[in-house]
Amino acid sequence: MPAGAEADRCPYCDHPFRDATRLALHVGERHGDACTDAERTAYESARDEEGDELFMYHLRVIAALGVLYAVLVLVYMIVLA
Amino acid sequence: MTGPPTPGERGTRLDRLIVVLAACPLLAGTAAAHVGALGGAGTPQPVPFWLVALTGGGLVGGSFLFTSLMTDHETIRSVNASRLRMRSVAAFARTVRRGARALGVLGLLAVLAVALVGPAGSTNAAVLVVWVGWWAGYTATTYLVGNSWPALNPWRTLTELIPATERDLPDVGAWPATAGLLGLVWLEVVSPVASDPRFLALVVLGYTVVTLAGGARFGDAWFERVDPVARVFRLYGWLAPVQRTADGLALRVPGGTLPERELADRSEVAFVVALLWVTTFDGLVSTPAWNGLVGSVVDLGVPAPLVYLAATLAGFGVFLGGYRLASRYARRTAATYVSAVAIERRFAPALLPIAAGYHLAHYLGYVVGLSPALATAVTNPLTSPALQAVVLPGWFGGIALALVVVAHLVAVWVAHAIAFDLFPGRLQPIRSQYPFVVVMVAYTATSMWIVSQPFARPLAV
Repeated sequence: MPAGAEADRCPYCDHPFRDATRLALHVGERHGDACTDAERTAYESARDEEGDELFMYHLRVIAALGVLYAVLVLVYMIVLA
Repeated sequence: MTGPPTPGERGTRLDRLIVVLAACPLLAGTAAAHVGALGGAGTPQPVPFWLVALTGGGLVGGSFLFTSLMTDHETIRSVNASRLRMRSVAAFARTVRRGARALGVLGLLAVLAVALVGPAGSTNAAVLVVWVGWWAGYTATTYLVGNSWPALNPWRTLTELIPATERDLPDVGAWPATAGLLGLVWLEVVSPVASDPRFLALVVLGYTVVTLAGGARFGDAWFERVDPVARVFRLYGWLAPVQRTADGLALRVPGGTLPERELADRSEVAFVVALLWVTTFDGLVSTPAWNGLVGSVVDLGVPAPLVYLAATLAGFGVFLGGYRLASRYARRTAATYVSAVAIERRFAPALLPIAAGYHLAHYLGYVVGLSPALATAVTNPLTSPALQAVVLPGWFGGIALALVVVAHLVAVWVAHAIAFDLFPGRLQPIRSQYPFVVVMVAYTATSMWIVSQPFARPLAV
């Protein structure tokens, strides 16, 4: 960790995180059975938010796969013609 | 417990019998088939059916008469009680391990003997056994089946015969092992150890002396931490389907144990990177382009072994630096406080499938092509047979390319699993992989180029 930086630390394992969302996700995933209700709500909302972002990301992934496929097919067509 | 032995205690030890029977083919000679001048001996004679039925009836009646001759109670009971018994799976495992240790030591002695007194030239049985059978073929079994080296290791077995002192190893991590690995590969490339049996004998003797001395002084820790060969097989074994567990063996998805493996420090990471580099280097030195490059440097007056040494070390430096750089960038793309060193350590096991896939791509053709030569040489160790090689079909090269790609696919999957274990959430782990994917794509393309190059004999050094 860079010196002098403020970080959110996990109350259970003292691991530092760059922002509160990451911390909430970590607490929910790793310390799910030990966390408080407030932490669980924070985890769930962070997860929902991330879920939306992940969906958009997956759309971009599928688009990238399509482009990759198309490029490969076209290059083979050109080379083998 | 006094009294006559119960039927359960008599009988042969099944485990010992299995090991002995399995060893018999090693002692069998070759059989010469022979066609006799017995033409026409196979034509069947017709027998009338009433005679067949009469014979059957006579046999059954005769069997009654015969069994009525056996009247001793004890004998009747002992015929039915005879059995083959295996005390337990653990006892069987112990017997197999003892057999493996004996096989390892016998193999080492045989290799030394044949290397010293057998025919000179690269078809010597010892040369083929060590390079085709052991370094290519046996290594492949460690990542395709399981790591059997701790049992088979002849030096480990021999160390137990020497009175040991069991000092503590100084805390040098895996750096000696890394240096040893780089040194052994450099030796393999620049010296005639892979073609001259006498030189091979010399190297094996030297290695034996060093290993026995280290093993006698430091005990098992030498083989676990310092010996490069044992470490290579241990790391490859992490990939294999058959894994040792606390209470026996387990069959896992190949590479499935990698996300659970922890590397202790940066020196162990360096060893994994060195293993990856040497498998690439082995392929690189037999490409025509490389020979051209080395040729031009040698023409300037630099001795070839020095050029290869510099290349070995420089390449290792490039690979290690590249991996460390990728880890530093991964820290940035994942936006994490996990240190770059910790990232290096966690993700290094994902490099092992690449090394294994590359090893197989490089050596599969070699083993298949030279297996008849190996078989002939092993059965006639003291004569000098002509070199027979299997001519590989044209599509075999495609297998090697496919193996390189599959190896990288496994590595990407393992790295994905490790990332999800290391970072919270679902997007952060994915983002952490960007720098590694860039490196992997470049490395795959380079490896495929190396594997598809025609074989060029490395410059005479």
